[in-house]
Amino acid sequence: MAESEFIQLIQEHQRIIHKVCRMYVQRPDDREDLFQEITLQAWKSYPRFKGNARFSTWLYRVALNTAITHYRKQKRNPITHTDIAGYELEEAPADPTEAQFQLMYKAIGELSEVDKALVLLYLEDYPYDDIAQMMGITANHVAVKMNRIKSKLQSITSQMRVNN
Amino acid sequence: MELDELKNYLNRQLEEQSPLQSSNEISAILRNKSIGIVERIRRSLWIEIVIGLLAMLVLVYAKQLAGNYAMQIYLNIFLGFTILFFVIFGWLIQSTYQLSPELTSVKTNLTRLHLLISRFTRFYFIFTMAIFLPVVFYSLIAAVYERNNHSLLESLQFYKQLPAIPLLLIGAYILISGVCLYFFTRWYLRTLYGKYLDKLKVLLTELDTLA
Repeated sequence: MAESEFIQLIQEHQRIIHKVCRMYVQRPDDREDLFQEITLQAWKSYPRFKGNARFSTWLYRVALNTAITHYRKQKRNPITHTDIAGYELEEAPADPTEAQFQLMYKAIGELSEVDKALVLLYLEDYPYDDIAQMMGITANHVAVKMNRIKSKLQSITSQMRVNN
Repeated sequence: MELDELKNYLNRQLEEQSPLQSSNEISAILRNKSIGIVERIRRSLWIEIVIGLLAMLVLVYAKQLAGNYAMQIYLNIFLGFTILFFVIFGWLIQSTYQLSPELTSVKTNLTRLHLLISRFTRFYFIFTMAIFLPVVFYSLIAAVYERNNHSLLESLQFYKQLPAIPLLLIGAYILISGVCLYFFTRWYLRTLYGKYLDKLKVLLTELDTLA
């Protein structure tokens, strides 16, 4: 009963896990490993899920904690261009706004793991208080960090424009 | 408006191209073994404990067979080490269960994980090095005692009973083995957990840094 209930919940919310995997891992096979690990960790923790919080918030917490601390063995073969289906984008779009967004998306890939978590939660429209609680820092700290991330993204995108 | 568009675009990019898993696939995932760091450490600790238990059984059996006093002391010291080893590794296993990703914040989780791995690597190193010296020292005493049937006190002065050259050779052997073991254990732990520990430290510093 609990298992079928859990599977149904994961099926409904699996986009959260996919999003986290996509944010943190570039190789498709590594992404599968991380998806599996997050699902397993969520399954192990599920008996302690009391339903006080929304399932999506609870799953975010599990997914972020698992992704940030994910232990990756060094691969023998270095990453190749064809492996990456993550932050790499094949063609530059004709629409300049779209091109700007693409650049921003690539720039997010350059951020640190902590900053990526903040960006993910920010994109989900979580209030700073909730983000602070999930990250274990104060809301002021989150605000300062978000400002810093915005400047960092600006500087990365400018650098990318220069390089292109 | 532009921010909303950007959010939509980024959310779309992050969600796209990820094949959705069917209930059967999710069910299959639940049967798999975890590859997480905590599970790896827990498995290592259990393996060490099982090996320790087997060693303990062998030691108890060997104690029954060992006739001489030096050998009895040698085996008792090892038993003492093994028991201490069980207590500490049992405590470490217990602390792996306190890491629950759904209850703690990212910072608490990182802090606890860093502490767990630091303790694990430290104790692993201490035990490896601590066991080496008694092994060599008591092996020498037991060998002298066995060979000459001296009293234990006389055996403790084994260096007086050996000619200078073999003594030097033994000393060199102990020194080289000790140094090799020291560097090998450090390299082994560094290869397995060093970079990961550094990464956790960097993440924690980053979370603490405001500027």
